[in-house]
Amino acid sequence: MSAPLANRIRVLRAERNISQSELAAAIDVSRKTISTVEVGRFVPSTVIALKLARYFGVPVEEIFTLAEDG
Amino acid sequence: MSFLNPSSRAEASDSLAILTGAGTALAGLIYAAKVVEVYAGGAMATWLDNAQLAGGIAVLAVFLPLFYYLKTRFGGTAVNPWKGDDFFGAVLRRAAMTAFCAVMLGMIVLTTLDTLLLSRVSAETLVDGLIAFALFVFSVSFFVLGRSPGDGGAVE
Repeated sequence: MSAPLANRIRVLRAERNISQSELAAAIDVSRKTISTVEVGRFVPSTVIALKLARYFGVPVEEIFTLAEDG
Repeated sequence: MSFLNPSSRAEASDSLAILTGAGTALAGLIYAAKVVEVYAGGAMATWLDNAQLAGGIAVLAVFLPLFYYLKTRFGGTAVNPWKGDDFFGAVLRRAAMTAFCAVMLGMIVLTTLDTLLLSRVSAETLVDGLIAFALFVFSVSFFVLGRSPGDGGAVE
Protein backbone atom coordinates (compact mmCIF):
# COMPACT_ATOMS: atom_id res chain seq x y z
CA MET A 1 0.00 0.00 0.00
CA SER A 2 1.39 3.42 -0.92
CA ALA A 3 1.34 5.76 2.04
CA PRO A 4 0.03 9.25 1.28
CA LEU A 5 3.01 10.84 3.00
CA ALA A 6 4.61 13.95 1.55
CA ASN A 7 7.92 15.31 2.79
CA ARG A 8 10.20 18.34 2.44
CA ILE A 9 13.51 16.57 2.96
CA ARG A 10 14.87 17.52 -0.46
CA VAL A 11 14.04 21.20 0.17
CA LEU A 12 15.54 21.17 3.65
CA ARG A 13 18.68 19.48 2.31
CA ALA A 14 18.98 22.04 -0.46
CA GLU A 15 18.61 24.92 2.02
CA ARG A 16 21.48 23.50 4.07
CA ASN A 17 23.45 22.37 1.03
CA ILE A 18 23.98 18.81 2.21
CA SER A 19 23.93 15.59 0.23
CA GLN A 20 21.79 12.52 0.83
CA SER A 21 24.92 10.71 1.92
CA GLU A 22 25.83 13.37 4.50
CA LEU A 23 22.30 13.42 5.89
CA ALA A 24 22.21 9.62 6.06
CA ALA A 25 25.53 9.52 7.91
CA ALA A 26 24.32 12.22 10.34
CA ILE A 27 21.27 10.23 11.40
CA ASP A 28 22.98 6.83 11.08
CA VAL A 29 20.99 5.19 8.27
CA SER A 30 21.94 3.98 4.79
CA ARG A 31 21.97 6.49 1.91
CA LYS A 32 19.23 4.51 0.24
CA THR A 33 16.98 5.08 3.25
CA ILE A 34 17.15 8.82 2.63
CA SER A 35 16.72 8.57 -1.14
CA THR A 36 13.69 6.27 -0.86
CA VAL A 37 12.07 8.38 1.88
CA GLU A 38 12.58 11.50 -0.25
CA VAL A 39 10.70 10.05 -3.21
CA GLY A 40 7.98 8.59 -0.99
CA ARG A 41 8.88 4.97 -1.66
CA PHE A 42 9.81 4.14 1.91
CA VAL A 43 7.75 5.20 4.90
CA PRO A 44 10.25 5.95 7.68
CA SER A 45 9.85 4.83 11.27
CA THR A 46 8.97 7.31 13.99
CA VAL A 47 12.56 7.14 15.19
CA ILE A 48 13.96 8.15 11.79
CA ALA A 49 11.35 10.92 11.45
CA LEU A 50 12.33 12.30 14.86
CA LYS A 51 16.04 12.06 14.04
CA LEU A 52 15.41 14.02 10.82
CA ALA A 53 13.43 16.64 12.72
CA ARG A 54 16.18 16.99 15.31
CA TYR A 55 18.85 17.21 12.62
CA PHE A 56 17.00 19.94 10.70
CA GLY A 57 15.89 21.68 13.88
CA VAL A 58 12.21 21.73 12.90
CA PRO A 59 9.08 19.94 14.14
CA VAL A 60 8.32 16.61 12.49
CA GLU A 61 5.14 17.99 10.93
CA GLU A 62 7.21 20.56 9.06
CA ILE A 63 9.00 17.70 7.31
CA PHE A 64 6.21 15.16 6.89
CA THR A 65 2.60 15.84 6.03
CA LEU A 66 -0.23 13.67 4.84
CA ALA A 67 -0.46 14.19 1.09
CA GLU A 68 -4.17 15.13 1.18
CA ASP A 69 -3.34 17.96 3.63
CA GLY A 70 -1.19 19.58 0.95
CA MET B 1 29.67 6.69 -4.48
CA SER B 2 32.24 4.02 -5.02
CA PHE B 3 31.10 0.53 -4.15
CA LEU B 4 34.46 -0.51 -2.75
CA ASN B 5 35.52 2.84 -1.39
CA PRO B 6 32.53 4.35 0.43
CA SER B 7 33.11 7.78 1.89
CA SER B 8 30.73 7.40 4.83
CA ARG B 9 28.96 4.81 6.98
CA ALA B 10 25.79 5.53 5.02
CA GLU B 11 27.44 4.58 1.71
CA ALA B 12 29.13 1.57 3.29
CA SER B 13 25.66 0.41 4.39
CA ASP B 14 24.45 0.57 0.77
CA SER B 15 27.50 -1.38 -0.43
CA LEU B 16 27.10 -3.98 2.31
CA ALA B 17 23.46 -4.54 1.39
CA ILE B 18 24.29 -5.00 -2.31
CA LEU B 19 27.13 -7.36 -1.43
CA THR B 20 24.81 -9.46 0.73
CA GLY B 21 22.26 -9.73 -2.08
CA ALA B 22 24.96 -10.70 -4.57
CA GLY B 23 26.48 -13.21 -2.13
CA THR B 24 23.09 -14.83 -1.64
CA ALA B 25 22.63 -15.10 -5.41
CA LEU B 26 26.07 -16.71 -5.74
CA ALA B 27 25.25 -19.20 -2.97
CA GLY B 28 22.02 -20.00 -4.86
CA LEU B 29 24.05 -20.63 -8.02
CA ILE B 30 26.36 -23.02 -6.15
CA TYR B 31 23.39 -25.05 -4.88
CA ALA B 32 21.77 -24.99 -8.32
CA ALA B 33 25.00 -26.30 -9.87
CA LYS B 34 25.00 -29.09 -7.26
CA VAL B 35 21.50 -30.12 -8.36
CA VAL B 36 22.27 -29.97 -12.09
CA GLU B 37 25.48 -31.95 -11.53
CA VAL B 38 23.40 -34.95 -10.39
CA TYR B 39 21.75 -35.16 -13.82
CA ALA B 40 24.72 -34.08 -15.94
CA GLY B 41 27.17 -36.61 -17.23
CA GLY B 42 30.91 -36.77 -17.89
CA ALA B 43 32.64 -33.51 -18.73
CA MET B 44 29.65 -31.38 -17.80
CA ALA B 45 29.53 -32.87 -14.29
CA THR B 46 33.25 -32.22 -13.85
CA TRP B 47 32.82 -28.63 -15.05
CA LEU B 48 29.92 -28.06 -12.63
CA ASP B 49 31.97 -29.57 -9.81
CA ASN B 50 34.78 -27.09 -10.56
CA ALA B 51 32.25 -24.24 -10.82
CA GLN B 52 30.96 -25.06 -7.32
CA LEU B 53 34.51 -25.08 -6.01
CA ALA B 54 35.23 -21.72 -7.67
CA GLY B 55 31.99 -20.30 -6.26
CA GLY B 56 32.84 -21.52 -2.78
CA ILE B 57 36.32 -20.01 -3.02
CA ALA B 58 34.81 -16.71 -4.26
CA VAL B 59 32.49 -16.59 -1.25
CA LEU B 60 35.31 -17.33 1.18
CA ALA B 61 38.10 -15.34 -0.47
CA VAL B 62 36.20 -12.37 -1.92
CA PHE B 63 32.76 -11.89 -0.38
CA LEU B 64 33.55 -12.56 3.27
CA PRO B 65 36.69 -10.33 3.38
CA LEU B 66 34.79 -7.59 1.51
CA PHE B 67 31.90 -7.94 3.92
CA TYR B 68 34.26 -7.61 6.88
CA TYR B 69 36.07 -4.66 5.26
CA LEU B 70 32.84 -2.74 4.61
CA LYS B 71 31.43 -3.57 8.02
CA THR B 72 34.47 -2.38 9.93
CA ARG B 73 35.70 0.36 7.57
CA PHE B 74 34.41 3.13 9.83
CA GLY B 75 35.38 1.53 13.11
CA GLY B 76 33.93 -1.33 15.10
CA THR B 77 30.91 -2.99 13.55
CA ALA B 78 28.90 0.21 13.28
CA VAL B 79 27.86 -0.30 9.64
CA ASN B 80 24.59 -2.16 9.75
CA PRO B 81 22.06 -1.79 6.91
CA TRP B 82 19.78 -4.41 8.49
CA LYS B 83 18.64 -2.30 11.41
CA GLY B 84 14.92 -2.53 11.97
CA ASP B 85 14.07 0.97 10.80
CA ASP B 86 16.50 1.18 7.87
CA PHE B 87 15.23 0.81 4.28
CA PHE B 88 17.34 -2.32 3.81
CA GLY B 89 15.94 -3.77 7.04
CA ALA B 90 12.45 -3.48 5.56
CA VAL B 91 13.62 -4.90 2.22
CA LEU B 92 15.32 -7.81 3.99
CA ARG B 93 12.11 -8.71 5.85
CA ARG B 94 9.99 -8.48 2.68
CA ALA B 95 12.48 -10.57 0.66
CA ALA B 96 12.72 -13.19 3.42
CA MET B 97 8.93 -13.37 3.63
CA THR B 98 8.67 -13.75 -0.16
CA ALA B 99 11.29 -16.53 -0.15
CA PHE B 100 9.56 -18.33 2.71
CA CYS B 101 6.16 -18.19 0.98
CA ALA B 102 7.64 -19.33 -2.35
CA VAL B 103 9.41 -22.29 -0.74
CA MET B 104 6.30 -23.29 1.22
CA LEU B 105 4.21 -23.11 -1.94
CA GLY B 106 6.88 -25.05 -3.84
CA MET B 107 6.92 -27.79 -1.19
CA ILE B 108 3.13 -28.04 -1.21
CA VAL B 109 3.16 -28.42 -5.01
CA LEU B 110 5.93 -31.04 -4.69
CA THR B 111 3.83 -33.14 -2.32
CA THR B 112 1.26 -33.53 -5.10
CA LEU B 113 3.95 -34.74 -7.50
CA ASP B 114 5.12 -37.69 -5.40
CA THR B 115 4.99 -40.37 -8.08
CA LEU B 116 5.94 -38.03 -10.90
CA LEU B 117 8.92 -36.36 -9.29
CA LEU B 118 9.65 -37.10 -5.63
CA SER B 119 10.13 -40.85 -6.11
CA ARG B 120 12.85 -40.13 -8.70
CA VAL B 121 14.78 -37.54 -6.71
CA SER B 122 17.05 -38.25 -3.76
CA ALA B 123 16.44 -36.40 -0.49
CA GLU B 124 19.82 -34.66 -0.82
CA THR B 125 19.03 -33.34 -4.31
CA LEU B 126 15.59 -32.21 -3.20
CA VAL B 127 16.99 -30.29 -0.24
CA ASP B 128 19.71 -28.73 -2.42
CA GLY B 129 17.07 -27.72 -4.96
CA LEU B 130 14.87 -26.13 -2.31
CA ILE B 131 17.83 -24.24 -0.84
CA ALA B 132 18.81 -22.97 -4.31
CA PHE B 133 15.20 -21.93 -4.96
CA ALA B 134 14.94 -20.12 -1.60
CA LEU B 135 18.24 -18.27 -2.15
CA PHE B 136 17.28 -17.24 -5.71
CA VAL B 137 13.85 -15.99 -4.69
CA PHE B 138 15.39 -14.09 -1.79
CA SER B 139 18.10 -12.42 -3.90
CA VAL B 140 15.74 -11.55 -6.78
CA SER B 141 13.18 -10.11 -4.33
CA PHE B 142 15.94 -8.24 -2.54
CA PHE B 143 17.21 -6.57 -5.72
CA VAL B 144 13.71 -5.84 -7.07
CA LEU B 145 12.51 -4.31 -3.79
CA GLY B 146 15.78 -2.49 -3.18
CA ARG B 147 16.18 -1.04 -6.66
CA SER B 148 16.88 2.65 -7.11
CA PRO B 149 14.09 5.10 -6.33
CA GLY B 150 11.65 5.61 -9.13
CA ASP B 151 8.33 4.09 -9.79
CA GLY B 152 7.16 1.11 -7.83
CA GLY B 153 5.21 0.41 -4.70
CA ALA B 154 6.10 1.75 -1.31
CA VAL B 155 8.09 -0.35 1.13
CA GLU B 156 6.75 -0.17 4.66
